[in-house]
Amino acid sequence: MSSLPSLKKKTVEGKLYKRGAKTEALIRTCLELTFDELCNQAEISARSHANYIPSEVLVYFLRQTKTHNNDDQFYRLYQLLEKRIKRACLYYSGVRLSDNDDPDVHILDFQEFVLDDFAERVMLDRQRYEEKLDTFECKFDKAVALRKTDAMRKMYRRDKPKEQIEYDEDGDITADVERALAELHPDVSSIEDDMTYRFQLQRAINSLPEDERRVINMIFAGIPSESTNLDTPTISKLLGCGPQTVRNRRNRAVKKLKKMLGTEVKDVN
Amino acid sequence: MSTDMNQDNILDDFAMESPLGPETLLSYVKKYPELALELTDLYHELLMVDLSAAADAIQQNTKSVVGTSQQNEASVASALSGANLRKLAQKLGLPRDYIAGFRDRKVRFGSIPGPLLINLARSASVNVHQMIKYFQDTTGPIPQMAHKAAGKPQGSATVEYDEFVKGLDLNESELEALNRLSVSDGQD
Repeated sequence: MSSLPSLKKKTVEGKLYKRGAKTEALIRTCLELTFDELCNQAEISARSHANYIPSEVLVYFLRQTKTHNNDDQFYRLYQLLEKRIKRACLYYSGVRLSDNDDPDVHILDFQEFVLDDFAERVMLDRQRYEEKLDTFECKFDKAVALRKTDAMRKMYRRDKPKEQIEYDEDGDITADVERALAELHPDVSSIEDDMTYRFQLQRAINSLPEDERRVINMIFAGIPSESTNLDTPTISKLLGCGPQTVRNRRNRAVKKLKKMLGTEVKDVN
Repeated sequence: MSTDMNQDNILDDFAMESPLGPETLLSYVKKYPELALELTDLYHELLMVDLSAAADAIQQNTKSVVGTSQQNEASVASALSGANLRKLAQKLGLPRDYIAGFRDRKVRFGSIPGPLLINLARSASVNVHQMIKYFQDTTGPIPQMAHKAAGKPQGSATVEYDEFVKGLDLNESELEALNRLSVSDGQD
């Protein structure tokens, strides 16, 4: 069996990026299909479908069209990937840059940003090898997610309102808040329950304002709020705000998460 | 390697990590504290991707694909026509026929050098994606009369890019301008 051409992008530590074994196997399977069969099968959008073709495979075939004298194959594959990128941009429904934002406008902005970034890489790849496109061949959805956060950073920088001064609330972290954080990680009995729970929790975190979301994600990653050791990265240091501000954000976030998760459980029941 | 490029590469590596858990975020934040915000935001987004994929819950329709396609067509056509065409040709130091050739999709898309198409799109203030879609959409308007054309336009097959340029009989300064347009600026 002939081997597929290796990717050329290297990690910061110098290791070559590699396609997943499943992706490589599927590319080989798809090489047996006619182009029409490949495209028809690629129209299937449900990942659970047995014939679903992952986007990584389509990126591989798109890159191969650079040597073709006929543009139709490029257009067809590009269109399929365009649809998938647009769909992937809809994942992030909880974008909140400010309270007055229309989320639909941001989704369209994200789609445009990510599509343009992808288009640019594809065009460069047709001229010379574009290593940045390798990430799309390794993990397509994550490469899209990365471009989305990039878009968000740029848009946020563009739209960022003046920082409001945050006044510290009186008092320290209450025992209630500590308990509530622990409750956000309950023991669950099955993988399905765990998946459902994690999905609900992450969706709830997604709906928090950015400053609170960052604090919660950092806490869950085990980054301490503060430390007496000057070399330890703390949330307070990383976010460039005072420890009390971190605590305030955490308290507010936990309160909201508890409310949101509690409501969801009630709805389910 | 520039700092921006290095940052992009670190974020690329983080996005490709598997499995991705809180400990992955912690180890990257420890290693690259200056990227803590970017990594935390990306981590959250990547978790959403993982969970959405696992749940296969993506059943939303893509938003107004048809409408968007028409918008692409109109934006590019407008950017490459009339006063915009004149301004663009002047800005780039190229004859109007060159721009009109793109507007009328006379050139086979696959033969256009990638960096040139990117630079042309940027100069015309349209997206690269819109430019690709414009070329893809062959149901667009009938080619307009070319600048200084003597007769009515005829529907004709596309030509290879090199052939198209040759046919324009560019002078030295225009060829230089074209070379500038064809160079990738190496930006990401």
